Amino acid sequence: MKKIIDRQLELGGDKPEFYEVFARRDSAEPLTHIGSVEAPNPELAEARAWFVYDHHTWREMCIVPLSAIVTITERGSNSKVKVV
Amino acid sequence: MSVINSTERLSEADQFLRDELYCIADAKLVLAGWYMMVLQNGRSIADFTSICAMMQGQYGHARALYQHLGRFGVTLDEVEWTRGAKEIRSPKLLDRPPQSWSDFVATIFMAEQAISTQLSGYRTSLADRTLARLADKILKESRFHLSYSVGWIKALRKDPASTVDEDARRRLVEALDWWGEPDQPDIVFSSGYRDAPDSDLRERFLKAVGETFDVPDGIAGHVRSWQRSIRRNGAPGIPENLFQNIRFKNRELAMP
Repeated sequence: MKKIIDRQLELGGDKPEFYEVFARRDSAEPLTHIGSVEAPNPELAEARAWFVYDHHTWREMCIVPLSAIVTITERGSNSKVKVV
Repeated sequence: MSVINSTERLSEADQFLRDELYCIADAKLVLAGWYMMVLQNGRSIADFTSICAMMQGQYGHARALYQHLGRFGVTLDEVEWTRGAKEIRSPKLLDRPPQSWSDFVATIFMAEQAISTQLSGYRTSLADRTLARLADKILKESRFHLSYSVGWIKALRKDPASTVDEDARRRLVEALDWWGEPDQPDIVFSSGYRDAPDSDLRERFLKAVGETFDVPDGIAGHVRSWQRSIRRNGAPGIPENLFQNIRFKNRELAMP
């Protein structure tokens, strides 16, 4: 039987948002953009970012809602933030 | 910290501590089984990855605690391969399988919160520094498990038809079974192994739950025949069908 996901019910009627993930392995490294996650709220975004990007033991990690980013050079392009 | 080779030499306090660690580790073992069984229901790739990571985390924590039971002369082999359904000491909360995605989310929230609350009592233990460090590490890792369930609760609640609050109310009563009746003798606390008595930890748990759900005043579990050694009412053990789902099966595939 095909699994049908009712996004309205299962995501609580919220429109999922993208969160950009930044991290560094140690204090000598700059905080670097490592990817993004989609989530309906910051709590779920925090958990998903931590579990998805667990390829290093990060010294520091933070997330920023994509909607909070004001683009300068990438204005009008498809991606607001590019992974380096 | 000394290693005790024979259970006959265990002091009363050591026996109670061993029993409580069994209960915490078995709770993590069964919770890992829950994540394993629900894994394919993850709502997105990131969700699937998160459930997978939480499952892995719970298995790791359970095995680390089982390893610590070696202090009481219990071997990993004995703990993982010789016990049946009647000897697993996980909380009653995890006996009943999830009835829906919302019930799953409410249950893992209660279970993660209950286990973390109980472990928090060991974080500053001076009587067993190895256990204190282990508890601290587990608590740091479990923080993200709680974020996951709280995030889902908030998302589900946006739907007026959501049943997550009703599911949580039912599961809260089951979760309280883990603490039994307040004001009973607590040798693990009085001997200095734990820095808070069970009654305080129960209150700490209710306060933490109250930050996410409404907790009715004077809520109590069903206290009939609570036994500290298994931290539950009634007969020991978990349902046989749950055990068959979560038990380790292929010994030749097991990691040493």
